[in-house]
Amino acid sequence: MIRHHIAHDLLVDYASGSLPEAPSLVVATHLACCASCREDVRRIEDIGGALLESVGTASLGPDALAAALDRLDKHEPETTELRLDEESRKVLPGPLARHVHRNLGDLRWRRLGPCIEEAVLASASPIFKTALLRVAAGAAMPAHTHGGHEYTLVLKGGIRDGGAEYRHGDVMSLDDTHEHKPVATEDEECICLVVLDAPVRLTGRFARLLNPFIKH
Amino acid sequence: MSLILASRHMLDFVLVRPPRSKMAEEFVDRNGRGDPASLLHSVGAHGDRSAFSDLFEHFAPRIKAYCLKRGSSLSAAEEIAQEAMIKVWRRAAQFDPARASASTWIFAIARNARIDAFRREKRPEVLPEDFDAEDPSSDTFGHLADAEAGGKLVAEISTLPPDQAEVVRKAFFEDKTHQEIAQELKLPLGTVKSRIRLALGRLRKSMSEFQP
Ligand SMILES: [Zn+2]
Repeated sequence: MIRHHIAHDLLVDYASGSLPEAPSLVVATHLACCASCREDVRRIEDIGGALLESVGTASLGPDALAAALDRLDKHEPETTELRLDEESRKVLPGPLARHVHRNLGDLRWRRLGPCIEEAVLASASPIFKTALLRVAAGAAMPAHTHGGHEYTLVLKGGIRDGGAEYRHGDVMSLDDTHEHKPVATEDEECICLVVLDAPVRLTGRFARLLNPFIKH
Repeated sequence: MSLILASRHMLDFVLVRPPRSKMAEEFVDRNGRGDPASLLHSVGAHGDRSAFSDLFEHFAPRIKAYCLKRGSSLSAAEEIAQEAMIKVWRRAAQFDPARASASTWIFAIARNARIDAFRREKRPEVLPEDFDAEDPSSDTFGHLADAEAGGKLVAEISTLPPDQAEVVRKAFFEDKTHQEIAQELKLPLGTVKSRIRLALGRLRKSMSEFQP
């Protein structure tokens, strides 16, 4: 049961095709878990579909159709087949699994403190930092304020922050007006996807410890 | 963006060749095999090449126009139209008419193909097999009839207040996020958010009145 959704403006940016890859990954991963946001996106895409019908036409080359027909029977696999172990399949929804493209255990995890590990994911844009964070049950997560946006999507376990609880598929969206003190719930370790779009300014006792968490 | 353009009273999305009438061009059912949704079904279920050809002739020139509108070069736009239509062929079996109209479904494929080519980024996609199993499969809502909705939208957009039309155009045709639109127009982010919300709500409402 999803309780914390993607903001409408972000869904519009995603559906219209303007949103960069890193935040799109958060949106797509949430959509895999959330029928309600999928429906919102589809409604926005309806506008896109209608615009496509009314955008006018630009003729293709005379051989375009023949060239396309030629390609239909050729075997051009869209993506290499993805074989993940059971834990990775359970934790990583489809869009994220295809991006990560390996088992959780095969990622390069870097210890950031006694209870926190981080695996930085490939990102096409240097403006963003995309990472998986693994936090021990009940441990505090990096608390910080920063100059931009941060999206945290829970994949496993849970996070409590300021009276709210976030579970599988829930998205916590922070901007520079907040200072948060998120804590992993007690029941199990927490794995989440974190996307930052500006350097983090860490506060409190984690500041020194988590310096490496600042994007490079 | 000049002030004159910015205050134009419509979206200005008719680019290369304007539709013959104010309404979107009707889908031409050359071989009497039905609308785009039925053609997609024939492609998905039977690998029907001539159904694919009909779809290609209707949608490829529109996808090319859409890409040109969003800033692709002529050759890139042609290539993206090709790529998108090949994806349409491969994925046709996933098309579910209960979930989306044919043009909405093809728009999403074209949008993603353009991003893949234009930004050299991978577009994270959501496929039907990704949906959470426990998720009540509630993705079956009414949707819009293709061509009518397109035509209705053209008419409706020209009645939007200019400030709303402008932000929708920037979102769909200028590759700009809410934040970038706010910066460009020197408006608070909240203002851009509410303009887009109002505009989409209004378009959506007028389109749903067209639902069968
Ligand atoms: Zn949601």
